[in-house]
Amino acid sequence: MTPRAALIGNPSVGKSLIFNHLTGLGVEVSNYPGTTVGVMHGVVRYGDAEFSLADLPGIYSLSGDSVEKEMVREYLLAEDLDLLIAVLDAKHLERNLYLLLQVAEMKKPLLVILNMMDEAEAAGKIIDSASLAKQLGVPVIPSVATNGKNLDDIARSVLDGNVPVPTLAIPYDHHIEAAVHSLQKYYGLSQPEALWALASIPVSTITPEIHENSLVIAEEIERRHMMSPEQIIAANRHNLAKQLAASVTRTAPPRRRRDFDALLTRGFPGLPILAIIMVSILLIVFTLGGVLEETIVSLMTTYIADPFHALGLDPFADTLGGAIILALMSGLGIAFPYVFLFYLFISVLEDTGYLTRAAFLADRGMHKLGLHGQGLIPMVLSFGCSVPAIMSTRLLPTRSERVIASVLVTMLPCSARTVVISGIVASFIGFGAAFSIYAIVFVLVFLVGCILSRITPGEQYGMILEMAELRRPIASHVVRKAWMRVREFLYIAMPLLLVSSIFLGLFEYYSLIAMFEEFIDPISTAVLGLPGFAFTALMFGILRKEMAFETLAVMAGTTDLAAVLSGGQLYIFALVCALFIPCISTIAVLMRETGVRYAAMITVFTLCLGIGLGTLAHLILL
Amino acid sequence: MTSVLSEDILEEILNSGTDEVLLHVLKLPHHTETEIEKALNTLVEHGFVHRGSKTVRLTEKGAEKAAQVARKHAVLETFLTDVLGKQPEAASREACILEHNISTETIERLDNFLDQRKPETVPLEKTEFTNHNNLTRKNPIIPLSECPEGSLLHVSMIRCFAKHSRLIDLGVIPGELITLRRKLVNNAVVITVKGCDIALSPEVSANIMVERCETP
Repeated sequence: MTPRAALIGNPSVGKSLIFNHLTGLGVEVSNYPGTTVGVMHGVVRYGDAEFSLADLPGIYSLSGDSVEKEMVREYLLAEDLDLLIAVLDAKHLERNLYLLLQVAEMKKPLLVILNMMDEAEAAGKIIDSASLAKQLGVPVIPSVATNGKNLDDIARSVLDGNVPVPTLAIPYDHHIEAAVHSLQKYYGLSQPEALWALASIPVSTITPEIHENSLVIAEEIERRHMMSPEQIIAANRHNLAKQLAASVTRTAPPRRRRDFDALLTRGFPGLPILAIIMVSILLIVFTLGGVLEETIVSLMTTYIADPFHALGLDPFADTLGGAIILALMSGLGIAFPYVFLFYLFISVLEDTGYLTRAAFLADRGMHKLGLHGQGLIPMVLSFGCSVPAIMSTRLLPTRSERVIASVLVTMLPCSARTVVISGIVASFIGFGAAFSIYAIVFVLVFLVGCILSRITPGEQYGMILEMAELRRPIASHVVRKAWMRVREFLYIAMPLLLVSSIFLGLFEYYSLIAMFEEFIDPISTAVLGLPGFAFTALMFGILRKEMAFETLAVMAGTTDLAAVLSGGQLYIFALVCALFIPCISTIAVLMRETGVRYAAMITVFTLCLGIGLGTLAHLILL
Repeated sequence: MTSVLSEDILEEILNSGTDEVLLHVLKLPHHTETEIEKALNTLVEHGFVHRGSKTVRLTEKGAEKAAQVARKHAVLETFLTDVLGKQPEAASREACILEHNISTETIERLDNFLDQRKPETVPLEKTEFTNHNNLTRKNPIIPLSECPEGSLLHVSMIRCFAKHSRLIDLGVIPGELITLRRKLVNNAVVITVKGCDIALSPEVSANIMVERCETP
C-alpha cells in the first residue's frame, strides 16, 4: 500500500504550488482566497518509492459551516490518511497556527511546512523553526515554494515513514475540557468530534442524539461564561497560537516597502483606478479578441473547411465533417481569443493581489444586485464572454451568490451578442436603436438582480475577505493558469458543441431544416413577427451567437438584410438573440458550475425572457 | 445611579448577544413584573436603554455601562475560582451579587493583581478580560464602523456572532487588538488583525463593537 497524505492550510499559502511541484500535475495557483475548490489528487514519485497526495481547499479553521470547511472535515474523517502535511505562511504565522492547532488535534502524523520564509524575512520576522518543531513535537521544514526551496525534503520525510504525531495539546477552559471528556466517554467520540459537537458544528459522525445532549451542555457553559462554547474554544486556540507565534518569532526592522494600498483602497483614487483597469481590460480583449477570433475562423475556413469541402466526398460525409469543423471553429474561436486573453489579465490581477482590493471597492455597488464585492469579476468578464465569466463565479463565497451571478452573467451581452447587435441593429437601423437594446438588457439585469437577491434562499452574509499580499506576478504562472482555463473550457464545452453541431448538420442533410422552417413559420410569424428562416437562424445562434447573424444572411440569401426584413423585424431578431438561450458553451459551463438543474432553469428562464420580450416588441413595433 | 436590578437588566440585554431583545425573553427570576417595569423606566429615563413596543435595545451609553458590569463579573469570578478556589457555579452566583457594589478602583486593583499572578494558573479565556489593561477602558464601546481611520481598537464584543463565524477564524475575537486601516464612505472597512489585512462589508463592521485605545 502506498502511503496517503494530504496538504492542508489557509488559503493562499502555497499548497497548490507545493502540490504542483511534488506531483508534476497542473493545479491552479493563485493569490486569491478560495482558488482550489474541490480536492485534487496526485501521486508523488521520489526515487523508486511513491505516495499519493491530496490538495485540500484552503480554510482558516476546521470549525464552522462553510462548504470548504465541511468538505475538509469530512474528508479527514472519512479517509484514513497516513499523514497530514500542514502548510503555513511564515509571514502570518499566528493566524496560520490557529488552523495548525486544530489539525494537530486530529492525532495523525503531521509534517509542517513553513512556507514563504523569504516574505517573512522581508517583513522583518525571523522564525526559529527548530523551536517551533520542538514545541509542536513534529518536524518543521522551512521553505520558499515559489523557487522550490527544500520541497524535496517533504517527499523524503513522508517516505521515511517515521513522522510523529504532534504532542502539543491546547489547554482549553476547564468547563470545556470536562464537557469534552464526558462526550468522549459516553459516545466514544474523538476529541475533535467532541469539540465540534460542543460548538454545534454539523459533522456526519455526530448523531442527532449526541447533538442534542451536547447542546444542553453547551447552553450550560454559555450561561456561566456569557460566551458560547464556540467562542471560548476559539479564544483558547487563538491564545495558544499567539503565545506560540511570539515564542518563535524574532522581529527585525522590516525592509521598507511602498504602501500602494494608500492609493488602491481609497475611494479616490482607488475607484477611478479600478474603473480604468476594468474598462481597459474589456476594451483590449474586446478588440484583440475580435481580431483573433476572426483570424482563427478565417484561417480554419481557408485551410480546413474549404479544402475539406473541395474533396468532394459524398454529401453525407461532407455534411458530417463540415459539422465537426464548425464545432471546432466555435470552440477554438471562444477558447483562445476570449477565455485565454481574459484569464491572462485576470491572472495578473489575481497574482498581484489587486483583485481583492477591487472586490473591496466594488462591494457597495454589488450589494444592490444581491452580490458582494467579489461579484465584480464575473460581471466585468461577462461583457467579453459568458464562459470565463461563469467559470469565475467560483470565486464567490456562497452558492446563492454563485447562482445569482450566473443568471446575471448569462443575461449580460457578451462580445458575440454585441456583434449581432452592432451588425444588425446599429448598421441597418441606427445607433439609438442598438443602444436601446443595451438599455433594455441592463434594466432587466438590474431588476432580475434585485428580485433574485430577495427570493434566493440562503442568508445574506457580508463580505469578510482577506486582502492578498501585493506581489509581483510570475509570468510562467500566469500563462500556465490561463492555459489551464482554456483546457478546462475545451474539455467541458467541446463534446456538447460537437454533438449539437452534428445534430444540426444531420438536420440540414435530411432537409429537416426546411421542414422545421415550414412548421415554425406560422408560429414565429404570429408570436414574434419573424419569418421562419429568421427563427431558424436564431436556433443556429445557440452554437455561437454570431452564427445567428451569419446564418440569417445565408438563409436570406443576401447580406443586405434590410431588403428581406423590416426594421422592426431586425430589431426583434437582435433583441431575442441577445436574451434567449445562452450558447452551448455557456450551457456547458453552467452545468459544470451550478449543476444541471440550475443550468436548465437558467436556460428556460432566458428562453422565456427572450421570447416574451420579443412578443412584446412585436406587439409594440409591428 | 443605577440599581442592582437595572444593572442586571443591562447585563442580560448585553448577554443576549442581539440588538433588539424581546421584553419577555429577559431572564430575571426573583423579580416581579412591576419591579422590572419600574427599573426599565428608570433606565429609559437615564438614556441607558431605548424601548420599542415589545423590545428593548441598549443605547451607546447603556452598552458601555453593561460592558462595565460584565467585566466586573468576569474579574470577580476569576478571582473567586482561581485564587480562592471556589466552585465555578457558586463563584458565578456570588460574582452576580458582588458586581453591583464593588468600586471601579477595587476592580482595577483586583484585575492588576490577577494579571501579576503566574500566567499558567490563569485559565486562558479569562486573560481576554485582563489583556491590554493599560490601553483600554477609558473610552465608550462603539461599532467599528464609527471609528476613524487609523485608530487602534480593542474588540469588546461581536453582535450576531453566529452569522460571522469567519471572523473567529481570522482572529477577530473579543480581546483582540485591531487597527482600522481604511474606511470608505459607505463604512466598508479594512482592518489589520494578526498582521493580515481583512476587508469587511458595512453590515459586518457595524456588528463589531470596539473600544478605542490610547496608543502607548
